[in-house]
Amino acid sequence: MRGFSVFLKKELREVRKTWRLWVLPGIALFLGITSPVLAKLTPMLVEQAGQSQPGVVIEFPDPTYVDAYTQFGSQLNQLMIIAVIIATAGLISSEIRRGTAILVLTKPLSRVAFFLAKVVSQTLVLLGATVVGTLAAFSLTAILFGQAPLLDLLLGAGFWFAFAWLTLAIMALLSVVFNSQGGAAGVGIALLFGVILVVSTWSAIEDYSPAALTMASMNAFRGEEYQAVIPLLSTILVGGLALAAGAWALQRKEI
Amino acid sequence: MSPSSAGTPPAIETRGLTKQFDEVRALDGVDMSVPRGSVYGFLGPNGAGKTTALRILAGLARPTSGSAFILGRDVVAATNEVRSLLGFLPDVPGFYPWMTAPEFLRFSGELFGLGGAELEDRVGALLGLSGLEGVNNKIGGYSRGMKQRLGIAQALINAPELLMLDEPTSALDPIGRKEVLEMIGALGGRTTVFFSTHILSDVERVCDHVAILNKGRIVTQASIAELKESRGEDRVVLEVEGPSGDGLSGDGRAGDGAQVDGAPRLAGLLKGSSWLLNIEQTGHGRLLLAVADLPAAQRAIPQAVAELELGLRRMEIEEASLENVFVELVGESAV
Repeated sequence: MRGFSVFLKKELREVRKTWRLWVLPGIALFLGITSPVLAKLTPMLVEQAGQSQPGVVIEFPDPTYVDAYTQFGSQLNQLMIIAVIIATAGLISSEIRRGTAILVLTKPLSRVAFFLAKVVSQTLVLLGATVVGTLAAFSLTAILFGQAPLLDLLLGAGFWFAFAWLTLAIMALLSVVFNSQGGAAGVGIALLFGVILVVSTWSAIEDYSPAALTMASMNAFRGEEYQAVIPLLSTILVGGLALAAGAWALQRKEI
Repeated sequence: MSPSSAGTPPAIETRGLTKQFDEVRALDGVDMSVPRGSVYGFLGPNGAGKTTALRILAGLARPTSGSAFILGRDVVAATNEVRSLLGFLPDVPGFYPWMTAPEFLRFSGELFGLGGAELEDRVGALLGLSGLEGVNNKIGGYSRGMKQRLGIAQALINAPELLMLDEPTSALDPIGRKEVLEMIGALGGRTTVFFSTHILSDVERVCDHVAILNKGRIVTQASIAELKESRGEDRVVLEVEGPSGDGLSGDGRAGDGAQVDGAPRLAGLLKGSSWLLNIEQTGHGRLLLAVADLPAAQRAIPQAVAELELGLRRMEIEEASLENVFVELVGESAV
């Protein structure tokens, strides 16, 4: 792990000084703001649209904070996960492509340290994005609905963060395997939909796989019961394996 | 340790180093020894395998077979140990565009475990050496020459025992090339410099040793002086005018106005001389002689010209050059 702290410090400065600071937190902030607003406005808009059709009456119950949280959770599980995939698809390959990896890896910086420092810095960005989005969703929900239970929101966002971290770990592996950022992103998205399809049709693993965290996250946002312990453990296990495989692949890779 | 570790091991030593890419053999049993303290040119035409060899030596790629040692350490087994002794500049150095030159040098030094006043002193000295003192712009706005000079500076941050540079002057304009060569030349005697290039004049200008690589094989390696002495030959370029009289006009032209060529007669007279290695006619009245004994040739040629009553328009001596050696070993097309 020689050079880990020096390279991590560089990574964090890079996050601060480049676009990387703004992309994921920016998207999370956008989702955190728009989700409660959409939850508040959508029923009114649909009802008004219905009134323009003679004889059609559409009535919705008054929206609540649950609708705002559910909207936020859905957006995290769809848009935000795809954003994470795209933003991290070149985590390693972009350094190799730009030639910066050659300059640092010919110094006493081990490849494992290089790989893990990039994962840790991106994990911190993801954590920051989750916090920013969650705070925005909490604030707007409280303002628009007068009620915003913090614990439900934190649990839902926490479970989502664990699933997003797993996505990041898998993307880190793919960004070592694939030299092209687009290639890694394409495989990552295909993998995401493939996993969702398999888990939804294979009930034996539905409750145990990391993908079950998305369901646990939605249930937590709604204030319903959730099963998260085994999915969290399997997420840590699969994420750890992905990181180990990524570090091993980078050790073997010719640059 | 390397096989030659009984004494001080050479800066670089390779034994049967081979690299195969699918159908292409980029390196084919390369045996090379780079003496410590030398400025060593690794010369070869484009595609000869120079970058592949450097990538293996820098630990970025693995050999298919054979072995490579840097300062006596196996480059495959002792990667961190090797890297701490090494400074490396790739052919196209990639920098973080958001950093400034001092920031990048500090970051590079910290990766070697340097810090405090020692690091600041080195950063200041290297900024001065690379002519980047006072330049506080982001690296993203640097010219190619500035990046190349910063590349050499970052490779020196750990005061390496061996500095490896891959094509450091390629794609630079003449001024940038001059600046980089001056930097390399200034390092001579302070550290071992091993640099690859396809530019012959760069090697002649700053190197004291050279290895010539062609199609993945070392075709020769020696000090430049030894190489010129053993393989090089002095050349004499002659230009003569045909004789006057015998039906020719006074200006040496035939009656019909055509220039009489005296070169074949002179070549015929000189053939068989002990000092002559080769003679060829390169144009009307022009001869190119390869000579083994230049003083003897300088005495004999004017005598022969006078004996044939020819006019000597030009007699130019070209001393043995690396280019001659390179052409002889690699072929005209590679220059």
